[in-house]
Amino acid sequence: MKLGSDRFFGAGWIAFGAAVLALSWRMDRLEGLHINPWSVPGLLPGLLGALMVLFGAALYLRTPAPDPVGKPEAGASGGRIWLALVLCVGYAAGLLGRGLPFWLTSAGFMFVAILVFRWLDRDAEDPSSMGRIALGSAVIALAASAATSLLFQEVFLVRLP
Amino acid sequence: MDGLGLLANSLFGLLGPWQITYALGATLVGIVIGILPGLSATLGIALMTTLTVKMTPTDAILVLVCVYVGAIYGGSRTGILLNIPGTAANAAATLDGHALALQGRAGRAMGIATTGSVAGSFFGVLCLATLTPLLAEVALKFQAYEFFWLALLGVLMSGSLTGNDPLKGWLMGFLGLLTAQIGLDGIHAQERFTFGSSDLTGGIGLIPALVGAFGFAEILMVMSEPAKKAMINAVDSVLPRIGDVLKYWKTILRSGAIGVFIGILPGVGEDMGAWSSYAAAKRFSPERDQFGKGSIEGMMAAETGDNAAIPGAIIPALALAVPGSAPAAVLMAAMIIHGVQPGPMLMVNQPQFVYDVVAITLVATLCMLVFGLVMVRPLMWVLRVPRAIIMPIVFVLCTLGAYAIASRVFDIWVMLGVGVVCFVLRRQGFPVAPFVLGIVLGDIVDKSLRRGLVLSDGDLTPFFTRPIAGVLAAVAILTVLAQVPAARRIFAKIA
Repeated sequence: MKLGSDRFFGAGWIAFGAAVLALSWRMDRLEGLHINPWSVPGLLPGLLGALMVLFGAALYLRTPAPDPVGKPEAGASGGRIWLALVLCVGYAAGLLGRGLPFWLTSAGFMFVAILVFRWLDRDAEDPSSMGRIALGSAVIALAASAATSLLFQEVFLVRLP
Repeated sequence: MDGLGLLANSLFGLLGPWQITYALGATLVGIVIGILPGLSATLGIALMTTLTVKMTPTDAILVLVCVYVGAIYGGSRTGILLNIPGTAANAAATLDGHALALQGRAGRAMGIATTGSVAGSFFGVLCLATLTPLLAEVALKFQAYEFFWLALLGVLMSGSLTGNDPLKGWLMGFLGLLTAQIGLDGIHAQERFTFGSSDLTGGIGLIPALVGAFGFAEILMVMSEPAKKAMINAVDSVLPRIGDVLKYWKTILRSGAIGVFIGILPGVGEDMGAWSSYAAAKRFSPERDQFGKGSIEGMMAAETGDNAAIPGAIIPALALAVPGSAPAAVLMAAMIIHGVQPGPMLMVNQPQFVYDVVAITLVATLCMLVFGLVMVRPLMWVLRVPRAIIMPIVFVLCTLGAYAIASRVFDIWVMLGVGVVCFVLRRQGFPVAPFVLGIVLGDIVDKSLRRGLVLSDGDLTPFFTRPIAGVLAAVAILTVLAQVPAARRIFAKIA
């Protein structure tokens, strides 16, 4: 498992480093401006691309470490990850800045996220009915949304998205 | 004498009612951030940077340093009571802290955490005041060659020491350095990796990237695992004891010195300060068999070490513009946002600011002591709040924190993109701290390399033959070679 993921990511680093190297090589060297050739903009990016290829190859080829420290924590669930990802990305990239008021969008996101994850984590909380959890989630979401909106808009004078 | 006068001036400036309110409020916020597992000192400082943009530089840095000190201190609570370190820096203290809690001495453990943290922080402040001007004076002799190696060494050391796999740490450091190259280059203002996007021309903002790496990625990590029921029982007396300081003064001094030294090393950080101090205390203690089973000395060493590393990490950030840890990197970025340029010239151009930071760290330590004496029990309610409530609220703050600096929706996308990439890589054991150091130091590495080569007309010799550059180059190369099995075998044969 570790060997496979290291090889997969090693190959990914090699491909990424090669792409960076190619883009750096093709970067404008500003010869028309008669700059010192040692100050071309692609110098460091090119070196970094080369180092990524080299170190990515080392990751690909090496014997796996005996202690799988990078392994996902026991109990991490793919379903929970996707749920968190969809909720967060849906809110931040899908809803914000599309014409809906910030407080409403944020309250809606927080209500759904708090409700869903409290329901999923219900074994770790004191016993409570679904109705109470929903009501509590709505109150918290509205209060937090109002507080953050007021804080950023009125105190820090940020034009909210 | 000049230094003492400047320090007195700085302390006097922090006695205003607003400054005291900011210091107490920010330390409390920091402690709460530290208590909540999943929220780090780095994220706390990044988010508060957004909120302090309109403050004066000194007030803003006051808030950020107080959050920094508070977060590292607060994380020990969670470690003691739940066996989950609130921040990575508290992992060493958790070993003995939770063991003490299991013996019904959680309050005693919290008292030791307060004593160790305050003692370590005081020791660190003393070093901050004395070593920063000395280091800045040495750094005045630095040229592009020295700055290139110093910044590169920071990324390499961070890669070697912050994760469990140096190879992955270095790759993350290179990724951070590359991320810093996106946008207009610092010498000819030529576009790099912008692909025709006007948003990318402005570069990847440090704060959105940091909030993504330490905020969104952490939220995904936390939410991907089912919650465990918090078991918080009544605790005994939480008051720190003077007797502990008298009994363990040698451990405190040793741990303070180790913490400051580790803090000064570029990019290493507080967690390594705690572990190194803990290991040294175990080696020299007559009660070493008690370590890990509820040793007061072990807990004292770990908490002294991580808090001493905070001022330690600020020293190179001020004197060399090379931060000693990830939170110090954000602090340094905040200084730049506020028009303060850290580096060797800071001591020449703005010496008062250096002593402002010393006074601020001292005030933060005093605030930590106040909360350690009076707010331990009330703060425990934070541990009872389900994370299903906290994380969505934190995500909204992350979104706003990324957006508010420049009011650009693009920065929200940066936060999301960096967060997802860091989440995926972290699950495979790639540490995030070198990536952050890389972003912060990318500009220095790029400009120093090209300026050095222009000065020497393409000759690489000065990068290795100038005395300080040569030493830094040797350390950087050995840092990498020490992890190569074939090179290690050769070193072993030579030894």
